Amino acid sequence: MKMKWEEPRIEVQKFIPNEYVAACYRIRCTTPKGNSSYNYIYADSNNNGVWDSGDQQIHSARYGFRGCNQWHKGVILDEPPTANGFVTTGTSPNAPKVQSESVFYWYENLGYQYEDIHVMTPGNENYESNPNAS
Amino acid sequence: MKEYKKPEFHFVRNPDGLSGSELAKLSDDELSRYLRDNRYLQEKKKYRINPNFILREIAGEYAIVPVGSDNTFSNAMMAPNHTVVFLWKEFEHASTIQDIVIHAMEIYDAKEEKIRESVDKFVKEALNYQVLEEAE
Repeated sequence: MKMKWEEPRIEVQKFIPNEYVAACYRIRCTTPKGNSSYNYIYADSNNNGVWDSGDQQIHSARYGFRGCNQWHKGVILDEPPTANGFVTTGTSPNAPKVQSESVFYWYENLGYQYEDIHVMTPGNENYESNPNAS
Repeated sequence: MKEYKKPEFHFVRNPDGLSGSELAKLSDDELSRYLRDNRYLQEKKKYRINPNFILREIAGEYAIVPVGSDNTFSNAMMAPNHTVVFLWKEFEHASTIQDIVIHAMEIYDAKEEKIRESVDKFVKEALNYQVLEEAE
């Protein structure tokens, strides 16, 4: 039986070089003000750079937490770490005496003795690009 | 001494649609003019695949891969349909369009006009993209 003739057709798939290169950073996990103790971490959910009622709480520690003070060698980011959340001592942005500071937070599992969430204070020179780490 | 040429024959369409018996009745001068006619010379042209492209079969699928660095598709891979695969294999050896049409009619269930139209279009575009080249 003869085959059906189809119009000759070639699909061309161009290889487009991927110019996006994620950078790798070496970051030390510390909370602001010399690794002070805080009780909560909020994501800047509404991206307005201000801790307010639109932000979601992502971590809490009743008796406080500090940074694990470890250098994290392979944190892969598109750009240098910038603030994406807040550490606070309370849950209400408008309550008196509640302290809050902007932080960059990320998740990483370093073993059972550490929390999986880590923070640093942007602009605090606690990070450096580390291209050979990843 | 004459240069030896490997014997080969090709089908060439009569651009005027003259039958064999009509051609046989032409005088030598008429036949000579006919054979020098531009339309006949066009039909006589042979084409072959540019060696800067290769056809690969990978797990039952075909891909045309450019192997030269200076062609339009140097950063591309081409996926041909089965008709192009047929044409490609035919044009791996220098062939006239009529060679291809005759062979395609043996394999495919389609009218000669339809096949010719497709092959003409393929040749025109393939020449344009330098996938095909004229052969001596």
